[in-house]
Amino acid sequence: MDILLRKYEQGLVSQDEMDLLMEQFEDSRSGPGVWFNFLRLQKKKAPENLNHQVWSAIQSHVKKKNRRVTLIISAAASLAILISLIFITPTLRNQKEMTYEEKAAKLEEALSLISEHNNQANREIIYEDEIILIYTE
Amino acid sequence: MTSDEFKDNVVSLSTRIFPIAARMLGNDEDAKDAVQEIMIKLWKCKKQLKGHPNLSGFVFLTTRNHCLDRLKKKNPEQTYSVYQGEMPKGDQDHVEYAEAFSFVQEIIKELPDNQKEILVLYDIDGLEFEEIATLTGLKIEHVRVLLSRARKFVRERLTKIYSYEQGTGGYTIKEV
Repeated sequence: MDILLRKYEQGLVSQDEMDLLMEQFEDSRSGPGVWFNFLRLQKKKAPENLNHQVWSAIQSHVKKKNRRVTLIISAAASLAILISLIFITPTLRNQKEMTYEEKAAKLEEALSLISEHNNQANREIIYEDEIILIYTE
Repeated sequence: MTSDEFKDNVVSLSTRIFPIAARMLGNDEDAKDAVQEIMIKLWKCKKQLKGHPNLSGFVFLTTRNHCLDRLKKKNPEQTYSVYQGEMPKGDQDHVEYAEAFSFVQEIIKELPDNQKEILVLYDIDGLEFEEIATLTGLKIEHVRVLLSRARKFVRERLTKIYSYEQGTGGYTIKEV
């Protein structure tokens, strides 16, 4: 046992030898006995299923992260749609709006539709923004 | 590192880092929380862990740093001691050891810091030489030498303090 204790002191014992020392000195009240019993009682044991609990915590973290990513992507997509509605739609609307020349041409066309037989003297023309009203007798 | 590799090689170390966290943080509940936080932290960098030359050593190092951070956050002015000297919790049979154990605690506290740390990591936390070398940044042989010195010191002090008198059923203090 002395040889084993010397080996222990030099840090050269294997796990099996260490177990043997612990066992040999379990009920001993000698100096080494105090030491080995102290070590035995100082060793903390992890709670049961700790590995499983940690793995579950990681899985839950991953799910939360994925949910957050989905939320960010959805928010970004909504923002993109909103931006397109604000900036792109008016441009399209502007593109559809007629120029003054086109409006003038349309006016001419409309006027030409009014019968020549109508008495032009009794006409009353009212110009609105986009509408021209012609009252005849 | 894949999820399965992480589970097999890293998460499986949770039970080994728990005693370190419990010793450093002083209670099991905080230790349990810390282990989960450490594992999530490691999960985030799992790609870098693949092929690490001493994965367990790295995990222990992360554990120590994480616990030190927690302690600093809790009480920035308090300095951390490797060994706080918690009394072992045992059954009635161990009550009679109480006095002897308190002497052992005092002996450990007398050790130089580097020897104390290695003694605690090896003999109490159950780390391997290689893991301690990674954690402390020392060479394996140096770790072995420091451990040997620490154990010698403990043995000499215990021999100086105690002798067992056959038949009395207890310890007799020779010298304090």
